Amino acid sequence: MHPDDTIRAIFIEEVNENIEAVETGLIALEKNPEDQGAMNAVFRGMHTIKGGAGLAGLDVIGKIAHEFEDILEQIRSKGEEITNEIFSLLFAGLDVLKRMITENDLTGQELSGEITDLMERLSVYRTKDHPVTVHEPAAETTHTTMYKIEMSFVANTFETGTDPLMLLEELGESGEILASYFRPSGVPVLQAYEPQSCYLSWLIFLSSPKPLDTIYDVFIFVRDDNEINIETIDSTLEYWFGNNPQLENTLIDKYGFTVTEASSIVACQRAIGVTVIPKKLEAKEDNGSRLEVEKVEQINSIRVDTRKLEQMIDSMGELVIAQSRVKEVINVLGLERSKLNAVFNAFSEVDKIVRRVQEEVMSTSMVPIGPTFTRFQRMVRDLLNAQGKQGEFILEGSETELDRKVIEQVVDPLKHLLRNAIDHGLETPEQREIAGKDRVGRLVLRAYHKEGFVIIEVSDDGKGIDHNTVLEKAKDKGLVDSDAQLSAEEINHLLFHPGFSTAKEVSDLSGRGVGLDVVITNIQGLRGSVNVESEYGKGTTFRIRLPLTLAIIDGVIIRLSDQLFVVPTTAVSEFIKINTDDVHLVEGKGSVIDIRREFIPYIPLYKILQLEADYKTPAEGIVVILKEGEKRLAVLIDEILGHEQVVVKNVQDNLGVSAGMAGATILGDGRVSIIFDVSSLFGIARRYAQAL
Amino acid sequence: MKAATRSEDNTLNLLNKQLSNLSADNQYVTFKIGEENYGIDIMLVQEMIRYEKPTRLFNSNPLIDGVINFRGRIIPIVNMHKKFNLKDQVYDTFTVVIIIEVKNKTLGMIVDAVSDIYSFDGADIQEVDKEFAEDIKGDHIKAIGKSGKQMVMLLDPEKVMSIRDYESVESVIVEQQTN
Repeated sequence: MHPDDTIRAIFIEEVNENIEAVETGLIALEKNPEDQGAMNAVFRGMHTIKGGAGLAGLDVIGKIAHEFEDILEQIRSKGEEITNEIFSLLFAGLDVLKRMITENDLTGQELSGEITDLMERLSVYRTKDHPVTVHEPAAETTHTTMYKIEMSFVANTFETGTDPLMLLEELGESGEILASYFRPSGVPVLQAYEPQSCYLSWLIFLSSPKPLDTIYDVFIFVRDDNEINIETIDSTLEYWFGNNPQLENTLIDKYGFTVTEASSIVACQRAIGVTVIPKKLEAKEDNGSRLEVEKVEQINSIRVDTRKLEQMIDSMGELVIAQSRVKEVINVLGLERSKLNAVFNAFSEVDKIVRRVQEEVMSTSMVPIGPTFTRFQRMVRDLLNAQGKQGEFILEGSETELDRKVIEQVVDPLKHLLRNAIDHGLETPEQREIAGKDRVGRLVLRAYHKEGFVIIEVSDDGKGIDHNTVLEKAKDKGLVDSDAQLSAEEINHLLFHPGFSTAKEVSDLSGRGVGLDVVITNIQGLRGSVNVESEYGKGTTFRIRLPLTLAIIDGVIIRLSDQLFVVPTTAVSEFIKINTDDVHLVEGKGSVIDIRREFIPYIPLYKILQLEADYKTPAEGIVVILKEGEKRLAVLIDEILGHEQVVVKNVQDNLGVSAGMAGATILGDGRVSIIFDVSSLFGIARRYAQAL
Repeated sequence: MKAATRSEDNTLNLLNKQLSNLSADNQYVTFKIGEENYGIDIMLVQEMIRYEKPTRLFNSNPLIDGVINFRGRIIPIVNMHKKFNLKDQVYDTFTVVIIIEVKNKTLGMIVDAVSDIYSFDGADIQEVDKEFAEDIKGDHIKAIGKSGKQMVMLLDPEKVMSIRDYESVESVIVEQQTN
């Protein structure tokens, strides 16, 4: 691989994250222009993109990022308001960046038209002469003090064990370092460079709640030999951070910076000034602590190739399998009771550790859903704007963790549901006013854990589902009989029927009658389920229920002839022993059984799967009642062997999908066992019955 | 364990040992399917194991006898008799599953017996071009090798394990699901 390619690969890996951060920041800024945290996040993101693009030699991306920074800089330094025009310009710019990445057009050749257009718009904005509003220096209202610290060290300072970096870190602990500058021009050319000497001196701006003496104490061991000057500059904030033409000269004359160094410092200082000066008016702690939290997170996490994680989870599964195989062998050995007990006692310890490690390994692939949620903000914003609707998008439970793979696959269904809520749920402000509602609608995306599942809800306070319209439509389309009487729940379920759509006209995004159908297919693929709650005129809630992890399933082991199968425990309603005369033949074809006055379709499992079985009549075998939502199906099997947690193995790599199979696992004896996908078993049973 | 089985296992062990020591090009594992000798590029062969009844699938490609646990992975094994439209395979102590990996897909071929590992000289291999393949109505071979008096049909691994078969099965299933 060309070295550039490696850098580009890293760049691409990181750039999406940064684009997302910028987008989230912009959306937050749009809501609350005073949000300095968001502003900083946007800056940081764009800056990282620019830096990365520079390293990877992607000039076009670098240039776009640079323009972005310029505009933001201008806004920040002048304390201007960001107009809608600027926002849409910035969002458009992000879109171009995103397309360059997704369409793998990193050099911008394919998209050159769009890029030129964007650059023109950006530069037009940049050269506009905007009125400048200068913030007045703030009066001292909080208890923090601003310090200016000069540190210059004697050349042999390293020999005394002084490490300027440590001092900087210590300073950072006593307050927030707003800026630190050193003079690169002080470093001699390479030939004259002495690695043991310290050539640097610093100019530091610190905001700290501590008194001057405490700050001096940081330098207690070095101040005798080196030159350390600390001043409070609360009264001269405007001089250091404001629009002060003299600052540049001061820096050059008094501190020995070169002209270029000085001018870049002035720019930085002004940028900080806009943040610092008004910030002194607000409660400052909030922002400071947030920055700190971010820092801690960055230090404590590392990037790991997800394949490594998957391999770990896989190996862990194999360990569990291998371990149960050892146990089986011990059982077969026929040891004396006391020896057997000793072995199993020792094993219970191993079991405990294995289970703990398993949980820990599993937890590495659990990630919070928050970043996925925030990804939708942009989409929701655009959709609302496009349709002239107003809505507040509320995210709850962003910290809820679930399997990374589940998250990946839940993105599309959630997108559909959100579009659906905006297209069909929320009304226009005018309609809402007439209905006596707040003009601004509420769209809530919420995640939480419940009973070993993750629940994700999409709810709106829009017009709700009109059951009459839905039923009419279904009758029109022949989905239900024209004289059918359906319960509210059954009607809601019609929405998920393929080809069903109540939208009067087909919109760009939803309303093609495929959305909800796709939602339910995807969610079922994840062994989850979807239900709807709606009150006409009040709003609708879609509730997705998902397993915490895809890697392990809680199952009942059943037997058919010499094969073992796993039925997910969540799909088992009950086991029942019945007699042959409990089975009733309907019209000489399909069968039903009568269980406590409830009639349930009955079929021997071997028949629908076309496999062998020992027992062909209900009296010999045992009947399992499978459930899928409200539906029930009674199937005859040979035997129930137990209840186990099994590791779901990926068979699709080698096999493709087949109906009725959710996956396969390897049992304690090393044999492969198929895990049923109960919802598609219902389909197979139906087709079998129809073919009779 | 029966004597016949043990000697058969020894043969397999020997062959598997060779498998891990090999280096040269043009080496083929040769085996029998029906009455004929076939060969497959040794570099693709992961291991040869004795046939044991696999876990049968339902609703799947009829060419797949079932799935087995191979080194902790679940892989399908393919019935070569069905694949080549021969009469039904008889499973006995000589039946062997040759595990091959092609394009990151691992599959087992059920063959009637393994014969040897054989190096062909370049001159002993006659490539099969399209026309010739049409003449003999062969879909799966890429060359014919001479080994003494015997003729060995060298399989084109991609075609043997052709994804086309799997895709057609998937589409059938998708059709079923949508119906």
